[in-house]
Amino acid sequence: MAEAASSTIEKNNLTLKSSYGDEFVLEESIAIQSVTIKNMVEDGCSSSVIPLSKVDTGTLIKVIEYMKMHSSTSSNEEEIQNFDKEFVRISIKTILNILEAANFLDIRSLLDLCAEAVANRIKNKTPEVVRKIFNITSDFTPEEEAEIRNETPWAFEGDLDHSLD
Amino acid sequence: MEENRIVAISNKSYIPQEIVFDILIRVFAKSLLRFRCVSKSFRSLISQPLFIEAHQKACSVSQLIVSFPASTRKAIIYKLVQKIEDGQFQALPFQYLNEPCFSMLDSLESINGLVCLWNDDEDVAICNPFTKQQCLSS
Repeated sequence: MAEAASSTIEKNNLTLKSSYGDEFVLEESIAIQSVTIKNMVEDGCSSSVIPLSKVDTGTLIKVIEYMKMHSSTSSNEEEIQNFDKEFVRISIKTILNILEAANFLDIRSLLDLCAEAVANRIKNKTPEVVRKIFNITSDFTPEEEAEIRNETPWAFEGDLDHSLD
Repeated sequence: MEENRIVAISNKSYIPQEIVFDILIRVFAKSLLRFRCVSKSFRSLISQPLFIEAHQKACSVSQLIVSFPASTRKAIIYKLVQKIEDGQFQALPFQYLNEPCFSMLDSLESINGLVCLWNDDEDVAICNPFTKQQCLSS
C-alpha cells in the first residue's frame, strides 16, 4: 500500500479536485462511497490529489454534501429521507449535472435518487420540453413525428406540463 | 450508430445515453409513448428489449391494478394505484379497463405488463392497458 507522500495530508484524508481546480479535503471513509474513488484508493493511486476533470465545483460541493450526510452515524433514517427530499429541490439541469457526476464516481444511491427525481419532474412534460431539457434536436421529419403521435394519440392528451423546470 | 446520437446542438453538454436510460426506466409507460417522438435515439432506446426489461423491474414495484366491486351492477371497477412522490400512493380509476367491453370480466391476472381478464362465462380478453392494444374472445 502506498502511503501519502505529502506530510500535509493525513493518510485517512483525500483531496478531490474539481474541473475548476478547487480542492476539497474529505475523509477517506466518506469518499469511498464512490466506487471509483474506492478503487483508486485500493490501487494505491490516491496518495495525493484526485482530479475530477468532469465534475465542476458546484456539482462537487453537492456530491460531497450528499456523501457526508449519508455516512453520518448521528443522523437517523428520517433525517436522511428529509435530506434527500430537500437535496433534489433544485433545477433539473443541476440534478442532471449531479447525475453525470454520480455516474462517473459510481455512487449508486445518489444516481438512483437523482434519476427518480428527474423522472418525476419530466413525466408530464411535452416532447418539446424534454428536448430542451436534454439538449436534443429532433431528427424526425414532421411527417415521421406525426406518425408516432397518431399511433397513440391519447398519450399526448390531457394536462401536459410545458414548463422547463 | 444511431443509438449513440444524443447530441447537443446549442452547447457542448449532452446527457450520456446510460443516464437517459436510468431516468427513462423510472417513467411510466404513457409518458414513454409520448417521449418516443423526442428523437430517433430516444425512440430506439425505449424500444430496446434490455430497456423494456429494466423498465418493468423499476416500475412494477410502483404501480398495480386493484379491482373494486361496483355498487350498482354486477360489474367491477379497476383502479390504477401508482406511487407518487415521497412514497405516497394514489388510486385513480383506470379508464381503459373500465370500458364497456371489459366491464363484465371480473377476474384479472397480469404478467409482464399484459393483463388477462375473464369471467365464469368463459369470456376472455388479453390487453396491454398502457399501449391500449387488446384482443377479445368471440
